[in-house]
Amino acid sequence: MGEKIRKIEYYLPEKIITNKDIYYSKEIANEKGQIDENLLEKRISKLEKSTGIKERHIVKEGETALDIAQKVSEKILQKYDRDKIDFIILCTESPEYYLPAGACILQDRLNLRKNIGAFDFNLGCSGFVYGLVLAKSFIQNNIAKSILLITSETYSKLIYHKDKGNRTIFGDAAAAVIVERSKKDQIGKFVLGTDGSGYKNLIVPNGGLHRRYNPSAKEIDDGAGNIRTENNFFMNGTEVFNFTIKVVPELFFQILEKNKISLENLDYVIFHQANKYMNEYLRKKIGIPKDKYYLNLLYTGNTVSATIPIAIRNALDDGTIKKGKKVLLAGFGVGYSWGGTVITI
Amino acid sequence: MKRIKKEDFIENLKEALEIEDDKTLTMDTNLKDLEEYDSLSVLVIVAMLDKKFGKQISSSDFEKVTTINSLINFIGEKYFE
Repeated sequence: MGEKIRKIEYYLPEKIITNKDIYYSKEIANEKGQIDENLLEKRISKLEKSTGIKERHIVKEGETALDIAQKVSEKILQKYDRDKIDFIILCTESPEYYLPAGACILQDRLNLRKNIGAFDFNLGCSGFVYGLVLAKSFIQNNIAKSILLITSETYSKLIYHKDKGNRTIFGDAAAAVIVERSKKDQIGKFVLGTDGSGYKNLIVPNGGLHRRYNPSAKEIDDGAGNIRTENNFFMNGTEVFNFTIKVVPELFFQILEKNKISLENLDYVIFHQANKYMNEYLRKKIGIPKDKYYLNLLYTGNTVSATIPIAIRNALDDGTIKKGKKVLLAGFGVGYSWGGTVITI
Repeated sequence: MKRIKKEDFIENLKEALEIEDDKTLTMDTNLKDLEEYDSLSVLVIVAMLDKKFGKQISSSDFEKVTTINSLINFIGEKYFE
């Protein structure tokens, strides 16, 4: 007896921001104030080639991670008896409130049973893998039979409006899976890791209880034209790339070893979709063949904890993966936190 | 250990950073002043250091990098001929 992912859905908020929207600015205007369209096109083209991102979706004013979590949940419950759900887990770093947990509010909004468990947990790029850890454990230990796991993120609300770099990379999205008991073991063994010494490299410094939101926070320029304040999201590109180069190849081989499977016998690999440049570098460094490697964030950007479930859904939709296929999943990032496993579709 | 020519390194750097063909890069070129320099350039340089020299550069060391010469100094003269 084992556990499996029974259903996957995702939801992208309606508002779309293109690269042109982000980079169309006074900086590339001439003395008459006219934008140099050629220069703009050239920059955007280069950007798209290196980041692999053309557009990203963001929530509208007043819309939150909880709202899009609700939307994706309604989507997944369209063809599933919601009375079967006996646990709901929400992974988010953009909570509705400090308290109560969003998952509790969702129980009510989705009209689920009351005799169920619910809680939130706070992780980013590794979130979906950790969500599977929880779901698998609960089912294995007869704590639940049918778990609704949602990852929902709205970094757009945390990124400063003048921070072009991060506005380019990140997109908002919510994804949901239903994990159930199954005859075969379809969620494999996990490899997990944490290194809190990297906490400062992916962070929103103000707004929590350590340092409150500062209405007079000064603007900080990173030297490459990206501006933020301490109230906003900060990512140290150098350090984060260093971290992934060091950790991800090792994680990959540890997952193979723990699940007693070789790269040759793996059908597909889905890493957290961070950005095209980094993901391609990791693929080459590890030696994963291109046709076994998911790489697509063209219309979503980096959606943090939703990238992996979105990738699984897309790969299912276009026939890249089918029932019975063995897919390695690996998430890595904010924390630093990382983890992975092999699932059977 | 095979040393690499400084001119070849500069050529590789120029290509990797997608600098316009008609621009000349020298040891004294300040990387961060280049028009093409952006947040992706940072990733490119980190990748190059890892792939070609097996080295990692911390963000504080990266902040101190200005000219191509300073980058070569960071990597270490022993890697170059």
